[in-house]
Amino acid sequence: MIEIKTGEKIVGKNRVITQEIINEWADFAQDHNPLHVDPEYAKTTRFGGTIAHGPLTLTTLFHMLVAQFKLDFFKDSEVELKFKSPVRPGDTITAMGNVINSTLQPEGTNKIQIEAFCINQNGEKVIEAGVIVVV
Amino acid sequence: MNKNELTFEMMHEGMTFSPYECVVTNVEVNFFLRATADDNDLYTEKQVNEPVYIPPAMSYIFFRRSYLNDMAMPGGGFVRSMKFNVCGTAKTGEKLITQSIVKEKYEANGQKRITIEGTTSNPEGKKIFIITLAAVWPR
Repeated sequence: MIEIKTGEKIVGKNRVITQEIINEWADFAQDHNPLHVDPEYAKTTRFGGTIAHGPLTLTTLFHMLVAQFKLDFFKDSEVELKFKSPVRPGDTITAMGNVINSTLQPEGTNKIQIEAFCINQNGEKVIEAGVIVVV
Repeated sequence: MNKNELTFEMMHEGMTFSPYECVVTNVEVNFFLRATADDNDLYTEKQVNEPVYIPPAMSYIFFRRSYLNDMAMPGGGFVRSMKFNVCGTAKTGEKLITQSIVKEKYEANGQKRITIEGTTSNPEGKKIFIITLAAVWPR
């Protein structure tokens, strides 16, 4: 069983999001919304340029969680998240988490609550998430 | 050929979309890993063509295909929040079925809002991934 205690911190890898990565995700997800892939169109929007797909950004969070919990993450986990700020080409995204509670359950499992987020290179939160993992 | 758009008007609460069936291949997982720079060894082959675990975040792809069902997403919307429940494992080569339903449809603050829940299960009915998406639908 994964040992993790209240107050522990988890940090994922840094990831630079480029327009090429956004385009590759667009092909994979079949989501070619011009806000993501057409710089000329995106300039005319309130964002002033292209932004990454939200589900592309959240993969950095899942990468951190699966790296931490391995197959235990697949047993019974919940990730509830909000997108707080747009991610633009050139941004560096890092996922982080603070274990806010780790409680032994009567059936012998451990219920771990994590306050997680993804930040950009300026420390601005782009995703905020509440995570529960039962291991 | 342009696809028809899935519009706000076309959906109603309780509406179920046609089940979306797929068998994920190692090639698709590798494409996902390349696009996301994920290097977790749960997803990589130790031997050629060995089944690998399907990354939970990849379930968003099945989910999206299940409600769009060969229609196009109108441009200009955005996601308000998402919830993922990961209830089990699935590997490449296994059949998966995703069934989505419109849980909420309403207007607030001048926005057209839709909540869709999609459940991905194996053929035995074991739930693997559940995604709930709350989005502002553009039109």
